[in-house]
Amino acid sequence: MSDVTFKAPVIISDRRPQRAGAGEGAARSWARPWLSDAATRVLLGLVPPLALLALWSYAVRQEWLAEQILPAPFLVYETTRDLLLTGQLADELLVSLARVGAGLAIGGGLGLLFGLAFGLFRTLDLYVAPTVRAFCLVPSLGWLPFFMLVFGIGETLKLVLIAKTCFLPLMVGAYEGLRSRPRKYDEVASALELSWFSRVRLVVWPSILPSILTGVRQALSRGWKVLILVEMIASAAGLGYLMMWGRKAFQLDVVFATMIVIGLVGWALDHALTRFQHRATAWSFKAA
Amino acid sequence: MADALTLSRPVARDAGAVTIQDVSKTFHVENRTVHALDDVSLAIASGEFISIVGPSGCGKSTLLRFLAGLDRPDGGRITVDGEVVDRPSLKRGIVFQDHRLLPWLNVEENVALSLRSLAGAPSAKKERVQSLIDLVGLTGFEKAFPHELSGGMSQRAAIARGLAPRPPLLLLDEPLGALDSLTRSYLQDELLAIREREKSTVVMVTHDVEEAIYLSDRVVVMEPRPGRIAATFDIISRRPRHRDDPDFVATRRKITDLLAKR
Repeated sequence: MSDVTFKAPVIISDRRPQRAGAGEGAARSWARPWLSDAATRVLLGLVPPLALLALWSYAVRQEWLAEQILPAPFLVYETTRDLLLTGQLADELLVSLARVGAGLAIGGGLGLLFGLAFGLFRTLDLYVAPTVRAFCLVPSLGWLPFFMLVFGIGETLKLVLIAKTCFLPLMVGAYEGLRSRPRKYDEVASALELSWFSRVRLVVWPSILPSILTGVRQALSRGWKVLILVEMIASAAGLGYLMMWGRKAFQLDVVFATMIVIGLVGWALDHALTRFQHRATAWSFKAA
Repeated sequence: MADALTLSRPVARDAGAVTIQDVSKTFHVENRTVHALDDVSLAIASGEFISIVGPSGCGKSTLLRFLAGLDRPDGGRITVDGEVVDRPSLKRGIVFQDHRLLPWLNVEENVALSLRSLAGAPSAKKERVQSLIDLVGLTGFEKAFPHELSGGMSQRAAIARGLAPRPPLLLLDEPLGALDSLTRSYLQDELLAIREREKSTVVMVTHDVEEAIYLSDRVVVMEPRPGRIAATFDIISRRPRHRDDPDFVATRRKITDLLAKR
């Protein structure tokens, strides 16, 4: 059958790939006809916080708690607006973000290196990894008294503590990525005579990237939480400090405003990273 | 060596000749010794299409992995065009049963991966990739990722990847085994036409006797424990063959009888 041509549409027309578009179409069918998918999702996502807000207002109106303890939502809104307008909130937020960024870069970077080393070298994994893991399993706050004595209560302490927190998720992410990566593609790499560099860049690295990105997400959310804690304990700037200041001044409206900002920013960071992960390693979410 | 291949040069007429000499392999499973291959010898002429059939455990896939250089035999030697096979090479293209396209690369990138280690201008490589994609009927799906393709399309892409470096010898490990019968027969005809164009020697492992007779110049039947060649059948009838031709039916009967007896 040498006269067979391969561009014959009949061959491929009945075997269309299941492109992503098919799934979207199915999702659209149940949505309200006057709303787009995205709008529906946003609206549904807003229901719980709005319900919480209603409950909060009701509690204040009914005076379930003293108003010094549970400030009115509108007061919190006004305080937040003032903090925004004076620029104080932005300043503290920037300080916090810079700290968590630096901590993530240092701790996460080291974690990545250690995880890769443990995944690649069996000897290191056998003799060094247990010690490193044990060190990491002592909670960050457990290290705090010691760290305070060694590093003082300055910027170094915060960096060390956040870095320490970000270390483990990336170490585990890189390590698990290497250990569980599909080996069958190594045979493809050797059959295609790929160079060492191409092999690492095109075969190994993409296969462990999903696991590493999951590690980054975990590191960021844990780092964010520990940052607020350490700022509450020892700091003169940052969101945690602002919250502490509000508590000491018995201004619970400031505390609430800070809590909301911390929650929102933390959520936004995680959401952005998740979006990035879905974009950068889309295949790992769709492949069987 | 990869640099011995070039993009443009057509496969030499006498390339891709294989000699398998007294190849043996034993595995040790739970204190038992399994003779996967026992003194197997076979000569494959350049340009020949050979199918190896046999029940599971007869060592047919092991033999193909030796040909690819992915594993090494305990004894004996395999040469391709006089060169001992001791490691994988682009001169021996392999298509696995599970297509093994890299899930993070699209069709185009997957096919181009096999040209990475070859010398040649990027534009020439790009052209070669596109012509292969056209050849296997995936035009328009260059940017599609493996998870967006059906099983048949993935296998076409894998075949394109195997063919791209113009290997004198193409090794197919049950390439159509996981496909439905309709896609399968399409791809069988495509395999024949592709080989017509690329003029490479083809060694295919399959468990489908009909497929073997339909495609091959010679069918090698293997038997298990120990893995040996039980018989070889020359298929001389002209292509295209029909599965209800008398000699097709007769050969199929002989082979299935042989397989059933073991």
